[in-house]
Amino acid sequence: MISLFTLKKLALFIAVSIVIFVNLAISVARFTGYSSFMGDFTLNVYVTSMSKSASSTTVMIKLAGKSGIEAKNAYFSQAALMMKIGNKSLGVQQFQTNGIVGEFDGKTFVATSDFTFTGDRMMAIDEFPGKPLDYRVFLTTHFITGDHNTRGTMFFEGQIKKVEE
Amino acid sequence: MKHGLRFIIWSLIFSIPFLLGQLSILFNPFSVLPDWSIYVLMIILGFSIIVSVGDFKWGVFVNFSGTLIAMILYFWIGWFILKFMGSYNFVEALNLSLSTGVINMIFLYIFCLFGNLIALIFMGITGM
Repeated sequence: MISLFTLKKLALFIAVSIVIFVNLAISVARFTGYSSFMGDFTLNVYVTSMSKSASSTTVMIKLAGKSGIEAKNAYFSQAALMMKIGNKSLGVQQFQTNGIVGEFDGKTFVATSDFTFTGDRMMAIDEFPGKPLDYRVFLTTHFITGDHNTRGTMFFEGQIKKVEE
Repeated sequence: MKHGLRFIIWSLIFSIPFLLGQLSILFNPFSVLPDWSIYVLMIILGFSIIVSVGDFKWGVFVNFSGTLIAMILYFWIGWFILKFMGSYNFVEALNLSLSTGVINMIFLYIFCLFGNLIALIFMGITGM
């Protein structure tokens, strides 16, 4: 009534199982790549220059990221920067983007942008570097696997204490 | 007694690809094959289990009990992932919650049943 292990009849069953397994194995490998990319990425923020004039202050900010794994299939679409000096907020600043922000070669990420502050915010930024600059960065990442573009957001925070190249 | 043992062994054999199918849904965004492919694979799986077992009635019950075994295994794998991974994986782990697992299981099982029915017609035509 029920035959066990007649190989010829099992052929289709085994073939389908192998297809499902191989597809799953590749998916898991890609997922591991994605999660280690998201987990191992580090970002440093630098103020590279400051120029003051009577009505405004322009700050040049550089993001320097380092990927833990080589990720040629990843790029960044947005970088939002929230800055604070003491308890004075400098608002939310967006890096210039045309769909892709900065340059990323799979290993290192560099993006520079200048931000101009006027009025109250100029008064606040002028205290830098005497007072440290607190920052929070939200980096929108895109990780392409096959046809799929997996979007995620990385978050970093820290403090800048000096102007450096 | 002998039939009972064979039934359990067949169910366990069937539960393995079914479990892998459920996990494929979980890792769907990273899949090589298109999204709908898992359902086609499930139809073929439902077809092939009947052909392998060689009897429609047995095949349907093996399919059903294999599905339940896979569901229990899936729940424990979900628990394992929830416990030992963090951050982004937590999102994946939420997917693994029981209700989602049950719904996915029902979906896949329905497609297996389609495969079973195709196998019934196939066996009727070929006289296997």
